[in-house]
Amino acid sequence: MSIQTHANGAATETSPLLDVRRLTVHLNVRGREVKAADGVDLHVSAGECVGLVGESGSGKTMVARSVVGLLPTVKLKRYDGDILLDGTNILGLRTKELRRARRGRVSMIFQEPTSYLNPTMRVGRQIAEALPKGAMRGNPTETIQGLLAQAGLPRGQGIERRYPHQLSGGMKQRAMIALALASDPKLLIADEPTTALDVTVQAQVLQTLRHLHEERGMAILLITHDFGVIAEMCERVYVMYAGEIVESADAVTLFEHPRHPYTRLLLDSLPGRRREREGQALKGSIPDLSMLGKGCRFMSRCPFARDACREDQPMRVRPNGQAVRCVLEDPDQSPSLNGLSVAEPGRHS
Amino acid sequence: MTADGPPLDEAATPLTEHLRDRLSGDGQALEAIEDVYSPPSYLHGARAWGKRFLRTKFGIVSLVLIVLLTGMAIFASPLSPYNPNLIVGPPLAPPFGHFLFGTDSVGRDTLSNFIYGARVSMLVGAASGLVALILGCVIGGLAGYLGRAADVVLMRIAELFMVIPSLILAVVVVALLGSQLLYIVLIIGFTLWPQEARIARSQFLTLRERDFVQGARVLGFKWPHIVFKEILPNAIAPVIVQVTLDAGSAILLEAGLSFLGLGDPSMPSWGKMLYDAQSYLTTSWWLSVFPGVGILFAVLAFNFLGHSLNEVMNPRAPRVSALSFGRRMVARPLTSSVRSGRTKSLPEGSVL
Amino acid sequence: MIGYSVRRIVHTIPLFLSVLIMMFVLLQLTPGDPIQDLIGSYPVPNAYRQTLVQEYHLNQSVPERFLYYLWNMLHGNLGYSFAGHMSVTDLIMGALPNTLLLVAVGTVLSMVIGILLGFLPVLLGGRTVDGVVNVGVVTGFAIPTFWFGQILIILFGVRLGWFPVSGMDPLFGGDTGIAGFFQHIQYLVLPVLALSVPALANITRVQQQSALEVLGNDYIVTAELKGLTASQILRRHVLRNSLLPVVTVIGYGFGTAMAGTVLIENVFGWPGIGNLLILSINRRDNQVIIGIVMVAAAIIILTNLVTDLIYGALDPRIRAQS
Repeated sequence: MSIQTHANGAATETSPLLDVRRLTVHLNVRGREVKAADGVDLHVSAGECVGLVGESGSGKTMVARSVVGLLPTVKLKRYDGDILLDGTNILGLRTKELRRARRGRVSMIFQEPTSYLNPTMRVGRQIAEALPKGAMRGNPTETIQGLLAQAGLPRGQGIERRYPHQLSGGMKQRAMIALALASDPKLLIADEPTTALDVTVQAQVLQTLRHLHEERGMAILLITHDFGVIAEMCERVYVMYAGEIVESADAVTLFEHPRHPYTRLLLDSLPGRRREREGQALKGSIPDLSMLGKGCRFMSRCPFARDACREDQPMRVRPNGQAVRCVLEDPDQSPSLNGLSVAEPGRHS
Repeated sequence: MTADGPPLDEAATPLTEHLRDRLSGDGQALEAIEDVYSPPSYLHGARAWGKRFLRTKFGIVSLVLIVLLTGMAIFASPLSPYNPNLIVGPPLAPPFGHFLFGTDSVGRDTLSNFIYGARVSMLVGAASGLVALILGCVIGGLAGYLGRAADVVLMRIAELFMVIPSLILAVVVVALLGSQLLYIVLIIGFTLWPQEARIARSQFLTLRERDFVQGARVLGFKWPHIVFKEILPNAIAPVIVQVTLDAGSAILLEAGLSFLGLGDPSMPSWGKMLYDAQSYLTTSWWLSVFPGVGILFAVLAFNFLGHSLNEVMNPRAPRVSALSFGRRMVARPLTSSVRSGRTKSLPEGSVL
Repeated sequence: MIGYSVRRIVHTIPLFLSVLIMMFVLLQLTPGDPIQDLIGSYPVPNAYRQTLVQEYHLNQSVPERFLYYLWNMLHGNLGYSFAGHMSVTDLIMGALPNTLLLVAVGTVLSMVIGILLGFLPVLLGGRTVDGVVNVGVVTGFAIPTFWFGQILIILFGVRLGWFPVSGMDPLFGGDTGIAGFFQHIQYLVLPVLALSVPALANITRVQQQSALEVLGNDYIVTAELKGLTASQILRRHVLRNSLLPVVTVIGYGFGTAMAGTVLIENVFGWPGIGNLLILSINRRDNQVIIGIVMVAAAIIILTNLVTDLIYGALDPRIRAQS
């Protein structure tokens, strides 16, 4: 086959800030081996905003946590691959080295800010703890207020002296952002940062993140299940399904010309999009990750499934850089099925 | 699904059976309703619980201990070499001689007294536990179910009993009213019930709001039915755990009372043996050691029972341990620091 | 915080009164002749009986007697003990400091050791430390304290002769000053050890569970991502947050320890109110019995109140509510 089967599609200029290669994480859940992530390749370059989208259970959270070195060791059954953070492979590091590798390079914010803040410690102090050593001398209050301001919280209201329960949901999330900024990271990983917030607050927090992305040149890996967030923020997108990356492309291409059947059906289910064909709904649910066999994991729900799908599918890269893990990309696969044109999906103008 | 409807679920309660009668034939609707109205039911999974119980270490040990002690209590007569009340040898004979546990200050056999002593302890443990269970469930259940005024009043009463330490209350009441075994059982049960009441109350409070109870109300069931057939079977599990622990406390309380001379004078009791031993500590250690060990194991038996019941009903998350200090790293969920080494298979919860 | 405190303080008064009511009801249920019980074993001449009836308002209704008793109590008069030949108040106040000494030292000891032991498995991690501590806790809960006291006496008092076997002071002589202080400590050691066992077990267990629970929280993940070292995390985040439930356990344990003194003082011949209670029971000295219960209840209600207030001050979540 002449299809390229190597890792990712996008052009790489210099070596990327975050380079995840063939990441595989298998967990032991109640005695069964769950393949949470399988051969995941993704990268984020300096200053980029990249999205990782998928349903719950797709493995995106596991990938995000692995990138900062938060693997659940208690349940870990098997791991493989490389996670290169600014050149350093953090998979397999011991605590002290891991700490050193993270500092100044990567920070993370989470979905539920309440549980990630210490309820008995003032917010300002928690942010101060994240500052690099030596910053505590000088005037930390000034620095802390500055960080809070960057995260969108106004100065002079004594927010840094408050306890988490005295802040609203949106303010807590901003406090977390300030905390993440304290170590001046090159990469911020945001795991569903707006999912738990009210819709109006969501927009504001996203705006803050975009502002930070632009002003500081901070790279962002945004993990979400919400395509609207992706559309607003991301330059490139990875789509994950059942532990695998199934498609990757820059954002515009993904929205206008999605190629993987999963992506297409997922986008179709969004309100407001012109459907490819009425009545094509995404049926069923994610397969049991402990009972995966060979072959494409989407097969059971795919309207285009055929015999060739029973084989393991590598990623195929198109000339424009879009990568798709689907046998339909092969030129020898028959073009149409169920009246749907496989060759040119997406909206026709 | 057969034509008769879905198979009888183990968790069926009277409510769902009632619904099943009404809706037989419409299988899917019934399934949907069962989802909503099916309460968690500890009692109905009894067989499964029993198996898991026996798998825990504490479960087996507690069962063995209880069987041994109860056996000793029931078969005290054939088991003990002498009548515990009769003088059968020289006073203060040391153990491991002719008398296995030695003799006491007047010459009674310590071993026989030890064996008979199990009776009082096991009896008081079980009976007082039962009293506390009933009282606690009734009062706590009422407080939780009726709410508001009744709740406040009943909980104040419970607090009253909690402020006065059990031993002091028991001592004073026994001293004033008498020390027959029945009184002792009742009084000890009275000092212990607030714990059960608190648990029963919180259970009733939460369960009262659950869908299956609301459903029962809507369908017109009267409150005795709701309380006893719907709520109680589901509320009782944590209360029972507390009761086993309190049975242990009851044994300690009875021993304490007997030690102070306030126990039932007509029955041999480990506490009373310790009371006798008090004057002879400097010379006759065996008078203290053996009865004390008896008490210890009786209480342990009930405590283990409660512990294993608790583990069965609330399975705990895998152990979380501390962080590293410098080099030594201990496993913790959501932490990495995985050593370099590809595709290494790690046993669960390993220390890296 | 203010509201919480005020509510808590106000709460204690009806509680104390209900204890008193309960004791009174109990007394009414007691069989026997109150006058005879007062006097003791001697026969009571009629004229004297009349005087006593007057003095103790025995010919009036129960609620009135209750109010008289309450009035007297608030003035520090708890009655007179014929058997002890002094007022009940004097009798109790003579014995109370000895008990408080035991309980206070025991509480401090169990607090320090309990927190340490509870934190240890978390600190060191690993199954053996965890197992050992758990075995200790389980045993501590099951062991009868008075038996443990006897064993201590047998082992350390008799066999090894390290500590005196009973009493609070030597029978004859006794040093003063520094030497006297150390001598007193010798007498304290065994009773305090025996007394603190249940509290120690409880504190250890609660501290351990609390620390583990805190470790499983998400903000520990945040702390690690911030780059804090393990020792920093344990010190700043885990310790403070895990101590909160322990504070309540320590405070409430004071009350349990007071009950324990009834048994321990008996074993060690310690002249405190526990011993006095048993003595009064044997002498049927009901006035003293009631007096001791009320004093003990008052102390316990007070310590519980202080515990709740301290907890309220420590937990910012309660502090913020008003």
